[in-house]
Parts: sequence; structure tokens; C-alpha cells
Amino acid sequence: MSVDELIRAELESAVSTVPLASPARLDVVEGRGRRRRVVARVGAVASGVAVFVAVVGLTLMVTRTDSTPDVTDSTATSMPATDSAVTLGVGHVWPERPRTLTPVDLGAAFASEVLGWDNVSVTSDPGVELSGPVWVTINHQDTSSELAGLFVLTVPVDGGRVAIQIGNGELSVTSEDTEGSGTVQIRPARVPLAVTLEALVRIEDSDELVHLEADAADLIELGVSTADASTVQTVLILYRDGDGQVIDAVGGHFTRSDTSDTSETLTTYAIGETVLIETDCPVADEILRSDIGDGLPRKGQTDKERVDEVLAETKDDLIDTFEAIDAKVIPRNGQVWDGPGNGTYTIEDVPDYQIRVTLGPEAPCPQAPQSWNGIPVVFFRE
Amino acid sequence: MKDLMEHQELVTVQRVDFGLFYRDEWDRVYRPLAVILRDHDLAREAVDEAMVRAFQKWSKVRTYDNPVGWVYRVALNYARNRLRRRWRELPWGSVEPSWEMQTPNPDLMAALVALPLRQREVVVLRFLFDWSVRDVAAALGIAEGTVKSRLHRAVAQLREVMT
Repeated sequence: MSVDELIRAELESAVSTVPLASPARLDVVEGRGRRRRVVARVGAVASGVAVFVAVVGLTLMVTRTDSTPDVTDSTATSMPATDSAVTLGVGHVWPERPRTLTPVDLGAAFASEVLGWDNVSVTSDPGVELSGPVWVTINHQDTSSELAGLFVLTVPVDGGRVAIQIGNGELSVTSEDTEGSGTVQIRPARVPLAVTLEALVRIEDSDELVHLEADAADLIELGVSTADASTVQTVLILYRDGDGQVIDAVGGHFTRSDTSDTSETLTTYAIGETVLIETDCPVADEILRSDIGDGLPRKGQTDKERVDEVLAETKDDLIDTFEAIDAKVIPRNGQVWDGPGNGTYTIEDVPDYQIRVTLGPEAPCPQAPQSWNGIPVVFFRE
Repeated sequence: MKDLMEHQELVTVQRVDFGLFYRDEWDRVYRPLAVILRDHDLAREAVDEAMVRAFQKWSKVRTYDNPVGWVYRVALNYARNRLRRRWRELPWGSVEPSWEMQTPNPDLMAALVALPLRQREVVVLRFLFDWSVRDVAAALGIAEGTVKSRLHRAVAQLREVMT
């Protein structure tokens, strides 16, 4: 029996052991579908009103000196006052300025204003704390896309709420310069039925988003030299079908490895009020943002120069310790803490770096988040 | 009046059509998903949810090359969203299945469940559903080359267990 046949036989055997289950009655399924259509239309109208009243002034970069809530005045209060504002730094994708909206309403506003989707239902997990990071799911009723639901990670910041990740990480954007153009190019993942795409790129120290369009299969030239790649903060890709309708989207921090031609956009997720990087070793996932500072590196530990130096000097030890195949420096762009160490501290967003470890096939995953000489480590398998 | 009658006829046809699809394919998606998730209750919930969405979009979904693939993808995404927190707390391989899963080759099954989710789902779709690389890529929304590389790595790891 071949390897393929053995695998197939094993899986078929496993499937045969799955307990019998009765699907919901057909009329119940149809009824749920019809009710949701009605709810979706009502929700779209309500969100439009919320957007209209929600624009507030804000400070883009703030730090905190303790765990006291840092809530700025707002002229609208459609979202509960946050007690866990995180620092707004390099990483938010949309909107340009935070909005005082609930996560669901922010998702609806994103769907309407950016995706052009009006007939949507937007949901969040039941029971989530509205004061922390919240995933919402946007379901479009009419799109031709095979998209099951678009996930948007929203976080509270001073002045309201923003989205820091679009999509659930299934799609990714890579940057590369394989043709030696000297400029940053991005290659969005392919989406079935997408014909063209639109890229919205946030560049450091620029008030305006760079707006680019391309065929879906193209590399996109960002017009930024590779030397200045770190000035690219976020990328949002909108995929359009032949009719020009948006059928999928992906967006998040833009990260680029300086040690290889190709880099990856890391996927983040939230647990309560903490944002983590999704890796192949879930229990060791790294904390990227934390409103109370737990698990964050100290300011200065993750500066590019230091991380490069530490890895150059200790790479062999690192590889032995984790039974790894390789280790390299990659951007982190997360939060760090700073302070005298007497309980008073600030949390800041910084364009910093971390170590990416590639584990061998037999290497066990660490059973807790790891740091190496104060530098966070993320683990992936080859 | 003629338009209205034609519309009602179309709705009736689509409803019957969806009913057949639902009856024939629900279990086909549920069982492999239960194996992937190791949680048959969640699999049932996810497939129900996916079928609701399929019904909402049935006029389009029914025209796809692989409607089952669409439902599978929706169900898997739904389950992933629900499990986002749970999977953070435990490595997947240490999660006991919600039923007694006895198979002829426990070592091979252990290796299968130890695969990263991205590889595992490709293996299941390829071997259990017997889908082509193209169909797997379409169902998961990834490139065919990515399917091939994940499959290659997964099978290489499994082969080590069997030798």
C-alpha cells in the first residue's frame, strides 16, 4: 500500500468514527437565512447615521504614565468610554482618524465606505469586552465572492476605535525586490475571481494614503526605495471582480525582512485586551500589544541595531536551544514599555524588530512566549 | 404578472435545488470537518452556519464549480473564528477529540494531528474529498503552488512516521 493510500485509509477510518449528527431542519436553515437578510438592511442604515455623528478630534501619538485610563474628550459617544486605550502608532489600517463607534458599527462603516458593501451583516463574538480589541465579521449578502466572511480586528485608541487588521490571515502580502528594481514591490495573494486590485498604502509622515491600482496578478510598485521600506506602515488591498465590485480585502502592518528578498505579513489576533502574533506554536505566540504592558519588551531592547548584534553573536546558541533550523531578524512594529522600573511606565508603539525562529520538524514548541536576551521570539515551522 | 410568476417559479426551483444540496452534502462536509477540528459539536454548528449562508446566496453559490468547497470554506472559517481563543490556550495536537477516535494506525493519526493546521486541512481535502490541487486551492483561497508545497511537506512528515 502506498503512502497516499495509507493516509487516505487512516483518514477514512477516522471519519467513520465521527458520531452521527442530524443537520438542522431545512426550514429552520432557510428561516435563519431570511431573518438575517432583514437584520442586515436595518443594520446598514443605522451604521450610516452613526458614522455621521462620530467624527472627533484626536491626538495620534500618546503615551501613558500608568494604568489610569487615558480617555480624550469626544463629541460623540456611540461607543462606551474606553478604559483600555492603546497607543495609536504605526499600525492602524483604517480609518484615517479614530471613530467613536462600537466595533460592529466600525465594521459596518468600513464595509460601506471602503468596500462599497451596503447590504451587509456585521457581527462580533458574543460577550466580548467592548473596551478591548474586538474581532468583527462582515458578511456581504450580494457579492459574487466566495468569501465566507471578512474578519476585521478593531482596537480602542484615544479618540475612538480603529481597525488594525483586515482579513483573518489566510491571505498575505509579501514584499520583494527580486528583479532588483531598488523599490519596494508587493505581491498580494491571489483571490479567485479577482480581476483588478487596489492598494491603499500608509507611509510614515504622510497625511495621505498612497493609492495604487493594478491587475490582480501583478506586482505592485510602491514607489518607495528599498532603503526606505521601513517608512511603509500599513497596506490595505482591495480585490475587485470584473464588474469593479470589491470581493475580498486584506490589510495590516507592513513588515519587511532586511535579511531576505521576501518577507511576510504577520497575522495578529486578540485575546481580551491583548494583541498577539499568530505563529505555528500557539502557546508561545508573542504579545504585540498589551494595555498593561505585560509581556512587552523594554524600550531599546528591540532596536534594529541591538537585535542584529544579539543574533549575530548568539545565533548558534539560539538554534541549539530551540532545536531550530534557522533564525533571522524581522520587523516587529509593536509596543514596548519604558520607565524607571518602580511601577511607573509608559507604553509606546515603536518600529522595532524581533527574532523569527524556524523550527525543525521534530522540535517541540515552547510552552510559553519566549524572549532571547530581552528580544521577543516568534516560532514557525518550515 | 408573467414576470411575477416566472420569479416565483425560479424561487421554487432554487428552493428545491438547495434542499437537495443540503440533504446530500451536509454530512459530506460535517465528517471531515469534525476530524480536522476534533470537535463534532463545533463541526455540526459550523456546517449549519455555512448552510445558512449558502441558502442566502444560493442563486450564486449553485453556479460555482464546487459549491461543496464553498460551504467547507465557510464552515472552516466560522469554526476558526469561534476557536480563535481556544486554540491559543492549547496546542492543537493535545486537544482530545470529542469522541472516541479509533483508527488502525495510531502513530500515523498522531502524526496527522500534529501537523500544522494549514497542512492538515490540505491533506484532508486532498485525500478525503479527493479534490484536485486546483479545487483545494479554490476552496482555501490560496495559490495552487501553496497547496502543493503544503502537501509535499505534510506527506514528507507522515512518510517519516511510516518508515
